[in-house]
Amino acid sequence: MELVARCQSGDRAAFRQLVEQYERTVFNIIVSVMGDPTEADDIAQEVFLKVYRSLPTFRGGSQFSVWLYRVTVNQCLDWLKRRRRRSAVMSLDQLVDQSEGDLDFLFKDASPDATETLDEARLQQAIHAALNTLTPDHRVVIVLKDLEGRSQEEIAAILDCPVGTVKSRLTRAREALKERLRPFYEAWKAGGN
Amino acid sequence: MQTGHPIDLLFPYVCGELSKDEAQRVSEHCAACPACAREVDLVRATQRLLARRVPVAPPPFFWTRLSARLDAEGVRSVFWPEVIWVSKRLIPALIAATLILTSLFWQDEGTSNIESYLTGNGTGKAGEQVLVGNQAISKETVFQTAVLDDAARSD
Repeated sequence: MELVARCQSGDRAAFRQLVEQYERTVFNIIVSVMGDPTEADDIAQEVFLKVYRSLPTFRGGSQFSVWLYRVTVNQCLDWLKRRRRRSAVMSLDQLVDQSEGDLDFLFKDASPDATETLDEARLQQAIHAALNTLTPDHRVVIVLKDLEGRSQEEIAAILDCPVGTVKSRLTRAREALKERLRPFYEAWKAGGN
Repeated sequence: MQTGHPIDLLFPYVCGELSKDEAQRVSEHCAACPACAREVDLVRATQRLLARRVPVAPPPFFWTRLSARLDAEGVRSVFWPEVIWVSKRLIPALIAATLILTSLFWQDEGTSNIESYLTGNGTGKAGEQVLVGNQAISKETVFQTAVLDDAARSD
């Protein structure tokens, strides 16, 4: 909070420290929610500009990180509403087609020597593709809970909704994700894995 | 899937979000139920896939670009408050000055009209008539009446 107070008094060096402390998390939330890294830089810039402008009005009623992630999530949802073009990320089916039906890249346990660049890149695309099949509301809770490791209470504070809503969204989002992966997983299992 | 299967608890079970007792019950159920055991496998595969996500590093020079935008923002944030400060004081002052000048102008115009009207000088002409109620009366009559009224009041 001391850092935030210094930022509020106009200390640019303190704001730089604040940005460097949170930029990685902010970026990862953006990339996961948008399902596409191409716009992440622009959105992150907007997030930190908004935070910079609003810092004088931040009263510390909530944690700074909660407030920052709320700004981040809202900015992503705004962009998703405005976005006309489709995400450049391939669908899961396209990715599986590209790997000629070999689903190891999706389900095989990662081992130290399983670091083939192509498989790894395809895996990361597959994660985004799987997340992209969810609605933005569901994607946000999965990202915050299962990718960023936030508690349900924190997510409720970030999304400004009751914990019960977070729980039900999380359950539905996880179920939807599981059902999207089911045919691939069953095909992989049927292949003797 | 039949009722009684703890379907809604499988993700919390795999994610370690259940109490010890609940986790124990789900575990015992799955040990005896192949359908739920298969479902737990799929849940684990889903969570494993998410866990293998590699965090994205912010692009290089993020701060440099942000800093440049903050500088531009700084120029705006210095410029606009000053404009607003000046406007807040200047606009009411201009309005007040305009009102004062307008009222002075009208007052002056009004007085000269009444004077010329009563005396028949200036723009008014002697012999002109004015309407008082429904009657047309000459200006001289109005003036005389006013003088007589004044004289009667002073008596």
